[in-house]
Amino acid sequence: MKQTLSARQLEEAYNACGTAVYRLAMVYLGRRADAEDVTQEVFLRLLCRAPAFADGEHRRRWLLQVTANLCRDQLRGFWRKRVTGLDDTLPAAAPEERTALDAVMALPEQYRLPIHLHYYEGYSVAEMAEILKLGQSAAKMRLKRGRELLKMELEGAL
Amino acid sequence: MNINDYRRGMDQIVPDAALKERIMNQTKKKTISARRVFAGVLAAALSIACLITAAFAASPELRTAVLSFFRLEEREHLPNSSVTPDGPDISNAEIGELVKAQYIKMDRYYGLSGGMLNSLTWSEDRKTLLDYKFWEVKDNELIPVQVDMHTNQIDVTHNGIHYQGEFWWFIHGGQLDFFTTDNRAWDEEGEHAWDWNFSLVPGRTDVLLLRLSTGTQMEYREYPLLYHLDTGETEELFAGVDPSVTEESDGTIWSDSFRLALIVGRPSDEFPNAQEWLYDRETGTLTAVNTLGGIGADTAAFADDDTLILYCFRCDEEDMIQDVTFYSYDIPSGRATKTLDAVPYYRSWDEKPSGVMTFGSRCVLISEEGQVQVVDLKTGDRTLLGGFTFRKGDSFQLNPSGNRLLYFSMNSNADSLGISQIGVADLEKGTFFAFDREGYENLHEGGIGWDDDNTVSIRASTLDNETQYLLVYQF
Repeated sequence: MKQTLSARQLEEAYNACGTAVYRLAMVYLGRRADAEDVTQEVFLRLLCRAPAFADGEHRRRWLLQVTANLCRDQLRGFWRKRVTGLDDTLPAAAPEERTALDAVMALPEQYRLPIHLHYYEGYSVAEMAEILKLGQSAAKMRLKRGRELLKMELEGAL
Repeated sequence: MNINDYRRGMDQIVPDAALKERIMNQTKKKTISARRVFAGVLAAALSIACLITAAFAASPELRTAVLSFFRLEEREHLPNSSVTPDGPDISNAEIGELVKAQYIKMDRYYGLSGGMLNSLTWSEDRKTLLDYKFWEVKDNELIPVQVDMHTNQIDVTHNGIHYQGEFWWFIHGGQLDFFTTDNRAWDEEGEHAWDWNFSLVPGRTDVLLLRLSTGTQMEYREYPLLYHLDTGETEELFAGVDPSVTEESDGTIWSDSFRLALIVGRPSDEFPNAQEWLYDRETGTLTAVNTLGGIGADTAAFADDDTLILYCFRCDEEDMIQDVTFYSYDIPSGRATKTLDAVPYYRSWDEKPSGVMTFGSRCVLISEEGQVQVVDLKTGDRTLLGGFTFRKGDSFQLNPSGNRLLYFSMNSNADSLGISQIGVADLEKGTFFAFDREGYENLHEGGIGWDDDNTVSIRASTLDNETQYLLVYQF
């Protein structure tokens, strides 16, 4: 279906998924400005391509998938070789919350997103694998390895 | 430290409100790019006593027709059954003897393309189309259709980049349709991305427009070639054009005859000199859009092969569009005529939205009081939607031929689109009616749009997401 996306539909998509897209970009890139740029690009793609979605969840997964691709693209750029932790412009968080955020952000890239998508966004291993374009066994391994590295009391062990 | 600390910390990470404004401003690019050509085809007569009550202003340039809004008494009763069929299933309804509605219930996600419902099965890596099924929607039945599917390869080198991949296509009922998969690739260092995609060429079933792209975001650039389906060979479209122009272009808009092209470019760090050009393939003439008519236009749209609509934006210090002035530009004579002067730009997220929505050669002008006029930007002719008041949540979409305007009203309290009312203004026949929808709150509606000049469809699913629906309306 070659549909066009109206401003209202874009707004509705942003209201529903904008924060999730931005948070995923923040987890990946760690810098507010970079996350904003990627979020803008993600919704530009939604606007320009206007794919047909089966439902809101399908749209959300597509947006997160595009976010992961764009973030990966940015990180691979020479100017993003050195990945830093969360920038200092974030809202002040309680010490233990900040420690938890820093711990996840300090994980290598391949473990950071599976942890965020599974434990924060609540996606199953299969759904997370689809978003990150991974095989299910690879997704499961990354989640397991990320959890080991975090040494965090994570719920819902695989 | 536990995962709940992470969740609470992450909950505090929210984007600035200004980011939404930035994103919503992108719609200006989209609406400008949606070039529509106005066709002079009269639709079949409707059996409704909803007539033009013509009213004319003194100046012929400002003559205004009035369409009286007619709200159907009959309401649509939407299906919401979660009983999942074994394959697609269809039911139908008529609304006010004016609209034929077809409700296609599906066990999983099906596509709609080329006027047919499709079920595609891809390999796990989504690189290969393994199986496909198609159905035509005819007389309230889904009729299986066999298609002669072809597979072609892309193997093109342009500017030192090797573009390759596979795609699938067929012709059915005189229409070409194609399917591609994810073609994006990176270099070994992962620093540069490239991609290829296709577009249909109006009136042609032997070729596709192959769009080769590099870069992302502001550095995205695109180069078009004509791809011949029978030989797999590509044909240059910009053979005589200065390469510095095409290298800085991020897309091309074609006139209906494919003779004229608007080579679009937006400046960026890497391409600071990018701008928009009008190119005539027959004469090889290349003209900067900002020089046309001596008015410094920012961008343009085709009204027809002899006429451009020139857009002049006035922006504030943050580069946000404040208002737009439109000119009709006669290409053979080089004469520009102002058709709409300094109208505010529409922003749907404003508390009480008003201003201009652009649809290529036409626009919808909404006053602060909610009065709506459709303006033909070639002639300046206006059509007032009488008896109708625009409210926040209302929206319009023009059909591909530009002669019918879809109207729909969205409930802002709904989780999805929540379309509570839907209708069509026929600008040539002079009719405008809409009907209320009952039961939309029991569906998650994810998309609405024209499939062809007479058909509108809505994608939806039940709230438990067990059953998918395609709601098709023949106006």
